Amino acid sequence: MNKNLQDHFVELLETHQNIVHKVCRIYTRDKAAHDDLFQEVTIQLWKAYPKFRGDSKFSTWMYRVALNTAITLYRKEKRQGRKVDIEFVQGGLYAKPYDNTNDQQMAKLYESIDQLNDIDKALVLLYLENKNYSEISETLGISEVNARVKMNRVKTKLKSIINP
Amino acid sequence: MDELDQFKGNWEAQSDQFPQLSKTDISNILKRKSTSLVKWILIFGIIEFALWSVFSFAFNNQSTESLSEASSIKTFSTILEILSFAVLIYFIVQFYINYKRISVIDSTKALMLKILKTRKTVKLYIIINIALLFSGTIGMLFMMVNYDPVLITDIRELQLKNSSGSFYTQLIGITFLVLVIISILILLIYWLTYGTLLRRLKTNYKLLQDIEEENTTG
Repeated sequence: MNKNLQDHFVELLETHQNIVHKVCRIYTRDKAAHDDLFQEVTIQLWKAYPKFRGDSKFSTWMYRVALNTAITLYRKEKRQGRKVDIEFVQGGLYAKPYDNTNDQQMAKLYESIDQLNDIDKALVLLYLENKNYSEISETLGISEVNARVKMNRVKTKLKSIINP
Repeated sequence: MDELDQFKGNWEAQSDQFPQLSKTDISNILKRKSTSLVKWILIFGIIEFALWSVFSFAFNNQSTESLSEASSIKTFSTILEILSFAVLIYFIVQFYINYKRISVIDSTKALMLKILKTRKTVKLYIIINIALLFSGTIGMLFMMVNYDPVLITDIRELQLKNSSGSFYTQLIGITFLVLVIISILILLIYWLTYGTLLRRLKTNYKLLQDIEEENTTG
């Protein structure tokens, strides 16, 4: 793939990398797994990039590829503990929300989300990202009505986990 | 306002905590190789096609070599070879078409369906090959017992000694045993490879299916 295309892709990903971080944050429990999933999502995004026509926003397209990688393509059980060497600045990501967080609310939310299954996690992520039901249904491949009904059930489930 | 809505503000604010990767970091990641499920499906699929092709051709050649000159047996063996080859070509084409259709930009459910379909193609190929192996072996035995002049002479001698019954029992017994052992080995290999590889995908696919069903029935 040509250099210009790569430069363009790298620039776009650098700008929108938080989307990938958020997906990784929802689907992993530690920094090593986060790094690993981040790498796989980046590779999948790059492989799919030549087919990106700009019909949808780059960010919308990224959610789809990142979620598909996390839910379908990523082989979590084989990846845990694999050595990775992305240099995360100060390791802040996992030091704060995963361990001694100052934000109890966020910690509790993450703890609760962690107990959900992969599909429910995707629904929560897209909801927190303010995606409308039409976009959620398109991303996951379920009907809009079913996405709405399921989302309400997930909210109830989360509520009972947070306030048992 | 529910719990999740209350968290929306915090959720957005956490973006500041994510360590930011530089262009160089991202470029370095692009040099790495993917180890996604689809890649493993492709690798396993190719290995299976290769192994089965070698196995079925080796089996057919060995059978032909050990045969006498009986033309009906040779014709039967040639038909088996052509059939195996046609099956191989058809399934390789199908596997390749299915694999190329897998796209990470599909909806999650469509992506899962396509992966499962690719896997199904290889599975069907193996099932047909096992069926060919069973029917081919049994057919070949029947042809040899009836048309191989050397074997016919041997059987006649055994019949004179009144021990042809145990000969048939042994022949059928050993053939059956070999076929059963091969089948168990294949199932074991499947369980060790695809069983672990596809477990998570199947679970998630079922979860998506349940969302549709729950709402239809409930």
